Amino acid sequence: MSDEELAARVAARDLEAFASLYDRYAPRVFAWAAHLLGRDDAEDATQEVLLRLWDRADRFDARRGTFAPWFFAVARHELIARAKKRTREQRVLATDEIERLLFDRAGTADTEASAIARVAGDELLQALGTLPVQQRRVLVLAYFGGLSQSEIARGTSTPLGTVKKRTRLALAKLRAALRGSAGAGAG
Amino acid sequence: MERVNDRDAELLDGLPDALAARSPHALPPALRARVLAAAAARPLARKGTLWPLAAAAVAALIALVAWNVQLQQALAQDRSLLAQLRDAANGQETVFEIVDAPNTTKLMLRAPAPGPAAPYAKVYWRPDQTHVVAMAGRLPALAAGGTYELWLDQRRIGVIAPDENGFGYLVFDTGSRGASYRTGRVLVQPGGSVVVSGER
Repeated sequence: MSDEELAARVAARDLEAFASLYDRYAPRVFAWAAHLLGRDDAEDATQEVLLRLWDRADRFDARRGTFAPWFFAVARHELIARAKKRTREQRVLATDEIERLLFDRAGTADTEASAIARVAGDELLQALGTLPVQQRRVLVLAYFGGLSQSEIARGTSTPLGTVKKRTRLALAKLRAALRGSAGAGAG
Repeated sequence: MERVNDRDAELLDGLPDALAARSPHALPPALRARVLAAAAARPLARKGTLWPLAAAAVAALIALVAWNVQLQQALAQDRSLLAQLRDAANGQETVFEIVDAPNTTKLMLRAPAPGPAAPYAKVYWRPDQTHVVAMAGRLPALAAGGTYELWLDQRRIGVIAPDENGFGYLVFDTGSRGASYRTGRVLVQPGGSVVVSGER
């Protein structure tokens, strides 16, 4: 059953459908929360995100888009709201650690890394891997850590104009790369 | 773009999946049962059921605005009365020692039909002073021979003589400290009709 069908059932208070969505999405939310907030707070944050899904599933409209972006927007807002209680430095450090984990291992050629790359986010990681490190870093800091461009500039001791330029270029290149891989996949 | 918006974030929504695959932080198995139990116990929060809450919030807001307007009117009334008293009682320190002290008790006297032009009066006393101050505002002009009388706890205290603006005050010595009053009235004499009254 698709995520969208399950979400419709969750909106009708179907606990079984909710359990299925939990199984699909909770590991991702938990990993994100554990890296950003620490393992101690991650369980509570994950529970809150999933309960928001339970409470708000009726607001998801499949005619306006797929379930995953809607859900990740909910998750991002909750996790980042919690992360804001930490200092900017803590958020930068946590997000840098995420970036290291994602890209240092993705770049290796060992068996484990290859297996992982097949599992999840492969195209996206490859596309991000083609970006200059500093451009990639601003996207990761903004996405996982919820840092604004001003916060990134202060947190990385980089002029704000440079951060804005890196963000703009990174998004443009990423879109182009993903369009290209989608086109190649289709062809 | 100061923060990454939801549309741009969509591009990166594959990252949590990739992170989960690489992270040493595995989802604790016990969390599943806890979240499902919490969901099952969650009260229904549907749009329809929120209407009573929303209506209550709107009603509370209206009440708050009304209360604020009333408060502003009362404060303006106080300021106006004190300003008039300052002019009228120029030099009488006793008046301000009683009206403007932290241990002052105030008895408000209101017209039977309150409104922005209705008369009103206030009586002030302190437990450590023998003097009592009463002042009244917006008192209508009386026919020749008419007077305004202040009564406290069924006892006639004296006459309040308003100026051309309808403002008047009265300072009287009770002869001993610790005077306290429960009710007050201002009457028109002759006739005894009540202009303002109040009770603590």
